[in-house]
Order: sequence, then C-alpha cells, then structure tokens
Amino acid sequence: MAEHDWRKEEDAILLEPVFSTGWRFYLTLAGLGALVLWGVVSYVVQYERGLGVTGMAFPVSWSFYIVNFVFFIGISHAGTLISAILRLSQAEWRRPITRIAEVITVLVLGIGGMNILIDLGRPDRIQNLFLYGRYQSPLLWDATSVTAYLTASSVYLYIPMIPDIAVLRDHSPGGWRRFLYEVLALGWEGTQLQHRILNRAIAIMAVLVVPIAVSVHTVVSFVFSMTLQPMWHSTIFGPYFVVGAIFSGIAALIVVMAVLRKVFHLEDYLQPIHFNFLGLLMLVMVLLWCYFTFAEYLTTYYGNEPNEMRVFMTKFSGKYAPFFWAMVVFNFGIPFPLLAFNRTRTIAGTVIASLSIIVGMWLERFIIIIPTLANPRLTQYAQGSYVPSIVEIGIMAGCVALFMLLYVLFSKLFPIVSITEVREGREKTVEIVKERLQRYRPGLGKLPQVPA
Amino acid sequence: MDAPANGPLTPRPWVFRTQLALLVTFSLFAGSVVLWISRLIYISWQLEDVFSASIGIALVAVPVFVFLLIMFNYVFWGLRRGRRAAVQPSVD
Amino acid sequence: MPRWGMVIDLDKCTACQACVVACQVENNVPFVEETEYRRSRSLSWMKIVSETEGRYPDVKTRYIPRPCMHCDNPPCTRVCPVHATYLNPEGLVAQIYPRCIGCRFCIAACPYTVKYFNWYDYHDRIPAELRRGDNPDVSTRPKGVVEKCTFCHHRLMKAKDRAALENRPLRADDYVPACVESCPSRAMYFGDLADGESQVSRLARSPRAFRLLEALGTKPKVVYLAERQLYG
Repeated sequence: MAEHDWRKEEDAILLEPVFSTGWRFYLTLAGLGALVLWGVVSYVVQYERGLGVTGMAFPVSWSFYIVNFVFFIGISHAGTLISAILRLSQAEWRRPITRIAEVITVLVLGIGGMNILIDLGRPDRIQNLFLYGRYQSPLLWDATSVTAYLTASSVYLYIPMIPDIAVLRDHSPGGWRRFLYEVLALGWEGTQLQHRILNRAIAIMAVLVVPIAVSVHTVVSFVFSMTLQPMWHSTIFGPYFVVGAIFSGIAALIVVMAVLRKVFHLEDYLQPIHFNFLGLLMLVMVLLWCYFTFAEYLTTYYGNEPNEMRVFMTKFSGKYAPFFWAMVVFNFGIPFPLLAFNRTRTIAGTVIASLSIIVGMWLERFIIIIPTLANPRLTQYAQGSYVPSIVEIGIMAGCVALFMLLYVLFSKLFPIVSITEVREGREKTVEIVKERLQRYRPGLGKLPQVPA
Repeated sequence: MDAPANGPLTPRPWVFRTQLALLVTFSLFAGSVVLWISRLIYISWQLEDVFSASIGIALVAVPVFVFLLIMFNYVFWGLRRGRRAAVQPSVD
Repeated sequence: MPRWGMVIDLDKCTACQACVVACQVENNVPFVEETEYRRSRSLSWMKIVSETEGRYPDVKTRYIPRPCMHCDNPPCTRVCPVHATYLNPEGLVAQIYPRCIGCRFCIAACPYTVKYFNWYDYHDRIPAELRRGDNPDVSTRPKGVVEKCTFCHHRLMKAKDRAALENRPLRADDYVPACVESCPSRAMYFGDLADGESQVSRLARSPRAFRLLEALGTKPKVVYLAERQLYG
C-alpha cells in the first residue's frame, strides 16, 4: 500500500503524537499504570474485607468516594458543556480546544460514576438496581442522568471527530489501526451531503447536551438537598453545584491544555489568547461561586437555627475550619487576583489559578459533605469525625491516574486538536467574522463595504 | 482530505459489518436503558410506590435516549448515503 | 390493620440499660472489638442517650432510650434505591438485608441516626462459643449492609403464627419487643396505635407526650412521656 506521508500534511504536528511514539510515552504509561494498579489493589482489599478498611464510621458514613464522585462529575462539566456553549455562540477561538474539553468529559464522567460503585457496601448486588430499582431515590436520578450525559457526550465527541478519523484512515499504513479508523470513519469522503448531515448533527447535539449537562449536576446535588439534614436541605444546591461544576471544569480544561501544549508542542494552536479568554470565563465563575457561597452561608448564619449553626460553626471556626478557609483561599484568594489583572492573566497565571481552583473545589465538596454527617441533628446521640485511610487514598490516586492514562491513550489514537475544525477556521474564519460584522455594524448596511 | 490521497477506499464487507455491529450495540444499549426505565415504572406501580413520579422522570429520560439513538442512526445512514459511490452508483 | 407503636415514660426510666442488653441479645446485634468501638463503629439498635441542657449550677440531664422511631413519614425509606427499607402496612420500617446494596443513603437521610452499617463481617468475628447463643429467629447480617431496630418483627411473625395455630385473633399481649419486655421499671409500653382504646394510644394522647424532632414532620411512632417537675 502506497502510504501517503503524513508529515507532508498541513497541521502535521497534530498527527505526530498519533503516528510516532517515543520512550517518554512508555515511561508515562508505566508510571500511570503503577498508580492505577495501586488503586486496583486497594479496591480488591476493600472488596475482600469490607468497607471497614476505609476511614468511615458512625455517623460519617459517606466520605472520600462520595466527595470524589461529586468532584469528578463536576470536572466533567469542563468539556461538553463549554464546547457546546462555545459552538452555539460561534466563538471562533473555540476551534483548537473543543476536543480537548470533550475528552475530559467522557473520561471523567465514567470515573465519577465508578466512584459510586466503589462506595457500595455490596457491589455484588448491583443487579438489584435493575430488579428492584425505585425512581423515588435520588440515587437513581443520578444513575439515569449520568448515563444520559455519558452517552450524549460520547456521541458529541465522536460525531465531530469523524472527518479527523478519515484523515487518519487515509494516512495509516495498515493493520488494526487502519481497520479501526476505517470502521469509525463511517465512509467519510467529505462530500457536500456528508458535510451537511454532519454539521446538522453537531448543531443538534450541541443544543441537546446543554440541558443534560445542567441536569446532571443538579441531580447530583439533589442527593444531598433531598434529605432533611442541616446545611444539606437547601434550595440553592442545584444551581450552586452546577456553578461549582463549570468552575472546576474550566480549571481542569486549562490545566490539560497547558500540559498538552508543552508535551505535544502545540504552541501555535493553543495560544495565550485562549488561556486569556478561558481565564476571563473562569473569573466570572469565581465571582459566581463566591456569590452562591455567600448567599448559602449568610442565610444559614442569619437564620441562626441551632442544628444548622452547629454545622456552620464547625466549618467556620471548629474542627473543619482549616479546610473551610483553605477552600476560600484556593477558590477565591489565589485565583481572583491572578485572573482579575491583564498582566497576570497569562498562561502561567491561569494555570496556577486553575490548579488552585481544582484543589479548592475538591475541598468544597469535602466541606459540604463531611461536617453535616459529623454533626447530625441529634448531635448528643451521635457525633463523629473522619480521617481517610490508606485504601481510600490509594483508590483516589488510582482514579486520578486512570483519567490521565486514558487521556494519554486517547491522544495516542486520535488527534487531540480537531484538524478539521482548525482547517475550517483557517479557511473561513475571516469570511464568517466579516459577514457577521456586516450584519450588525451600523453604517455598513448590507453592502459589502468592509475594506479588505 | 476531500480526495483520498492513497489507498483504495473500497468498502470491504467486514468493515461494514463491524460498523453495523457498532450500530446494533448502541441500539441495544439505548434499548436496554429504555427497558430498564419501563421496569422501574412497572415496579413502582406494583408496589404503589409513587407511580406518578416514575412516570414523570421517565417522560424526560426515555425521549433523551430515543433521540440519541435517532441521531446516531441519522449520522450513520446519512454519511453512508452521502458517499461518492452512493451518489454515483456506477462506481459501486 | 394495626399500627405498632411504643411509649416510653421518662419518669419511670432509670437508664439501667436493660433494654439495650436485651435488644443486643435478642437481635443478634454483633459486639465489635475494642479497636472498632474506639473508631465509633459499634452497633446498638437500642441506645440510652443523655441530653444535657444548661450549665452548672443550672443544669439538667435527661436519659432517653432511643430505638428506631418507625416514622409514619420516614425520610430513610424514601431515598432507598432498591426498596431494601420500606414502610410496611403495619407501620414498621422494615429492612431487607439480602437486598441492601450498602449505599448508606438511608443512614445519611435518617435525622435520628438510628441506622447502623456493617463495616466488616462483625458477626463472623465473634468467638464461636459466643455465637452459639444466637437467637435462631433472627438472621445475622453480612458485611456491607445496613441494619436497625425492627421492633422485634420476628416476634410479631411468631405471635401471628401461634394465634393462627390456636385459631384466635392476635391479642394485645401476644407481641411485645424484647426491650419492652425486659424493662424492670415498666417504663416502656408497646401496642397498636390504630386502636384508640389501647394503652399506648391513651398514653400517646397524654399532655406529657412528645416525639423526637417533631417539627420535621416525620411522624415517629415512638412517643416519649416527659418528666414531671417533681424536684425543686
């Protein structure tokens, strides 16, 4: 088979990670694989001996796994939602980052859902969800909406990728990869009809995934707010969680972008302006998150209901105060000044802010879940604290490593920056923007008067 | 990209078969989710366990999966119909 | 259809813990090792809890025996994803151990914190000679499931069987949970709240009657009779 040399292609650098593999790749694979193995071994220990190997006790009966579940599902809002919103609002700068974002969603959603299964005391009875499931339990709302989101975001990742897979098909030498690409390309040849169908499908999917994404984190919050427990039973939990999810999602996206930019030398594609724009978006989310947190905590404080106040005070000045104030610093103290000023909203600045936000948002999930469980209404009857065990830490490390590992493998199989979208942008962006300008700039009217 | 630069793209039958298998798997998945939801409704009716809420949730959830299935089929068969070979039958 | 309920007279209760021990033995509730106890993982379906109000010298402590409240509007059954805990027609909040998937949502949702989890296979760890004393009427719970007070549901089933065998209706004194039976000061009463003339119904209408966290609207079927101010 006469192989067409991929190196001569336009945007060859995007194909490079797919077609050439260096020792660094195998080293990364081994390192991440070891961490995943640690997680697997930890889980096997837990499965054999029971949930007693965790740090959970009475009454803190939910901890790391549920925190991670909420956290990972939150991160998943990075991708599909942001990519869909940017597509729908026709932001031209989206082109190189849509796929980077969408892949995060698909992988992290799976891992988030997995954490619920890890948390089960009897994973061997999971079939009972099918045999005796009841829709009155918010846990099944989660199961349904996470499944819907995972399916929708996988389709939404796949459909725009078809033309890129066709490019790979045309360049791969043969073997199983060629077969894989040929199958997944669905006979893409770039005809006019195919373009029309694909574009229509992408547009419809972009509209569809937005409400699904919002619903997912809303029902995740419902797991807590549907109970009567102090500081859980709150009406703003739905939007509060959604805002937090998008917030942590953008942060994760920026970090992943920065890593890919360095590793795959994508400086030409992921430019400072992308980090700048995403940084601005994240700045809005910093403020929104603060607003929600303020509203949530002030109403609790002002109402001064004893049960709620007990939880409030452990967060504010009690046992969990270090975590609470660390959360405030990581979610506001560090990122806000970094993102507010043009001078610090650089690549380095946004990455530091993002790392801080990722830590801060994990702490936020922790500070929402644990103190309420540790201080139930009848505190004198039961009170507890929680320290994670080595098993829980191992499983968390394994989850994070699994995400990275799958991301690396994905970037090995498919171009992580959409070749088609970038090319389309190169050819059409100026036209599109010019036309758009003509539609709304006063004085220019419908006549093509814009100087070339 | 419009013109395949190398290698014939003759659709070997097993490529199409694998693609069909993908489609069938996806349909089975969506179908089983819908079946599962119907079973939940049935159980809630049997146990008199807030039947109305189950119906309400199903009314939102089932169309989503049906719609995703339709979208997948639309792209699958649409792209197939849009191939050059399909437009000009002589090549096939 | 009866609605089983309990009345506990706090004036008569001496906090002697007889009910706690009786419950533990009757229901095969496992004793955990010291290390597990220190980690606050011990299980006790019935528990005497103390409530202290005020500060010295103006201080008041009351002791409250706390079984499952068997709410008429239970927050725990609502959230169970697999129907492993539910309100049965006779008003008992039942647990189905072989069905529970161990998600612990009911523990998180119960405002009375009466639900306990088997972090390990605690029953298996009890020395074999002690296990010989197990009550054969009550199944032991494996690891990874939630358990709690059932109002000695097995006693109800037995009483029903006996009544059926003797061809007579169930009498009020046929079914009494172990804690009530063992109370030396007769501070606990048990019976049918649906029958307005029963002793528990009459006591539940007493002006001294109160329920825990009544304002939440969970409608507990465990009613307490407050202490009369006999001192001072």
